[in-house]
Amino acid sequence: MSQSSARPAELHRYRRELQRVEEHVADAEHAARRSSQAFADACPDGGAVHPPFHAVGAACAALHGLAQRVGQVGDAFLAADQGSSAVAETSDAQLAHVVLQHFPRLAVPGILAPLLPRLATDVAADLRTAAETGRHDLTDLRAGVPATLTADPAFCRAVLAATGTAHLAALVDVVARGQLPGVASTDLVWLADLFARGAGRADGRGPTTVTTDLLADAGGRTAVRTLRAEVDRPLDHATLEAVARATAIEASSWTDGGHPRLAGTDGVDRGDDAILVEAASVPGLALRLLAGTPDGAAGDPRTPDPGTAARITRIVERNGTTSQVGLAALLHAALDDPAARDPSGARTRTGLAVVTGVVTGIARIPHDDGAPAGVRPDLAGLAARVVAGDHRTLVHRTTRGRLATRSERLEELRSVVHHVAGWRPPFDALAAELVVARRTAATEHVAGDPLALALAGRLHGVLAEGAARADVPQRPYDPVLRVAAFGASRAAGARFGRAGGAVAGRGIDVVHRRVSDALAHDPGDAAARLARATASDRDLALAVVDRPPAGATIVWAGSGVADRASLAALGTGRLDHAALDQWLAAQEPPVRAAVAELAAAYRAARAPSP
Amino acid sequence: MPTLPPAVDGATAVRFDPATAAALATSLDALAWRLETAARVEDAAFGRAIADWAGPTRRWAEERRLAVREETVRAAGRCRDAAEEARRSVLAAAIVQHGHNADEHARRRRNAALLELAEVRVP
Repeated sequence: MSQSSARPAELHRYRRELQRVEEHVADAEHAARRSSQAFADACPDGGAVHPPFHAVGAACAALHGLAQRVGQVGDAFLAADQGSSAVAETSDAQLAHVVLQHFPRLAVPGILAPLLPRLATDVAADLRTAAETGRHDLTDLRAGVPATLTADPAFCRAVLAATGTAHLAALVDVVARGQLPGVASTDLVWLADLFARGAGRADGRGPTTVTTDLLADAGGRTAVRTLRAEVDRPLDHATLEAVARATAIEASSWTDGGHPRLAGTDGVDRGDDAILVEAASVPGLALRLLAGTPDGAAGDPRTPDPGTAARITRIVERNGTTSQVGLAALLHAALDDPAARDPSGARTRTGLAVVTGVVTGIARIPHDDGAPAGVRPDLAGLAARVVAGDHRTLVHRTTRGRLATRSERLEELRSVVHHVAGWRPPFDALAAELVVARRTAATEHVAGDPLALALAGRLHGVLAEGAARADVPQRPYDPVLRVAAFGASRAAGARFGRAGGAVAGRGIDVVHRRVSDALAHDPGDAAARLARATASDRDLALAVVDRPPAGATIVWAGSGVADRASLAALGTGRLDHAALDQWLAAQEPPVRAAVAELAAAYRAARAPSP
Repeated sequence: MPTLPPAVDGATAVRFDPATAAALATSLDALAWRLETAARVEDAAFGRAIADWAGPTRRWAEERRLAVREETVRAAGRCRDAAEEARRSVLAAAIVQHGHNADEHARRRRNAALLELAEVRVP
């Protein structure tokens, strides 16, 4: 251990002498300021003179600060040294301890840098004690550590290393449990800042050993999630990738047991949200986390990478009980990643894997009434985006392969739409996308490509079936009522015998149904909204107007519709329908037949079967 | 120090007081001298303070004082420059006064010429 020494009296004398000359400088500066003002008043035609008062003030402040700090060093030596000699001699660590305790302004890197390891050990010892004694108030401990030190990543790394993973995880748990839910905690923020600065290695190439050890078990991962949820200070990308992979990709907050601090006011787990949202903000990271391996060059480029799809399915399925905010952000980022599409705009194998993995994963989240699992708004929005944006791929998959495969894919799509239809904005957006898809498909059909219209019709059918499923009123109390009715029937049988019990049982059934109906939620109206959005054949007619059958002409005069723009402006109301019918009636037979053929082709595809 | 030419009759007099300018230059010189003295005193005081001073605090103080000393000396130099500016300001005022005087002389010559022209035309 190295020693520090000084003559405190000389250091104090240095302070006094500098204070004296600093006063003289201040007096001279005042006099110069007065002269400068007099010159400005009396000599406006003398040109400008620029006295450097700002520089003089800065020099005075620097002299003052130096004098004060050197004097404080003298104080620190006196406080740290137990001897009575004119020369104070003490260990560097003890001197630093006194500096931290009494002269926090002296805690500048120049003084403290050589002592960081020892100081970090002291702070870590206090943290370990707090963890062992279950102390959740770190106010005193925080006050003893200057911000200069906690802003230094080297110090933070040293503290975390000296504290150890077990104590760190326990301390975070203790502090987090000692805070009110939903209320910001200064202690947790302090610990989270310490972690944010010290989680990564100095060379930026990934997490430190302590962070890696923390991520190796459920308790440590929960501590990391708790800390990351408290502050926005970003991790370096390599560390963030390791943290996200361990906490939210390979495991999840829910499967690791969760934590009261990580649950929202609705009780839903939000533990992975902060980490996943941060990961989503780093270009390329989302796809790298989800894909796990680089996009394989081998394999049919038109088929999704099966390993990636299965991995994404597992991740999505596992998040059925969480808030899904972070997951949705990560999946949006993966879909937006340029690597998810090839130069022509088509999905790459990895991109296809994201799409199909999301669909399969969401489809597997249960629809049970009252179950804790379910698709929440953010994931529903993502599902709507996937179905709308990649509907041709997804619907086409329901028509390819073996019967069992086709059935499975069709059911997946229905299940996803069922989830989406439970939330109004995403489902309405999906219905609007269907209208656009139908318009495009009709144009392609008239141009000689019938596949797109068949796919759009099939999508319409899937949407209608999913919406109908979602509209069935939920009956969350039915399981309880069933048990109650069963118990009452058995009691009646025991009391009145078989015949009497049968009569009583019928009455109990009636009461059961009525109570179930009374407690059932209101049915949804997703199917009705979809029907309204897609009621008009206007888009089919427009496709024929833009490319009429050979030899036929479009009749406007007397048709009730002035021109193409008026036709395109027709809505889905009753009068609009009447106007469209009138326009159709005025057309030549080939035009009417073309519109009818389009409508028939579309409607034929609307009853999807495997 | 240069002097200010007097304003001729009828010319605008510049607004400039040489004594005030000289006072400013003197006070800026004094300020510079005080700063230079502070640097010298600090130098001597630090030489005494480092007796038996060892450890990271001394290394920090040695680095810090060099920066502070440089800042102080630089401020003193800028004060000297400003004092020189104040002394030269009388030159600027003198140039302005010469301009005003020249304008007045020109105005007088123009009036005399007009008067002469009028006398020629009137028999």
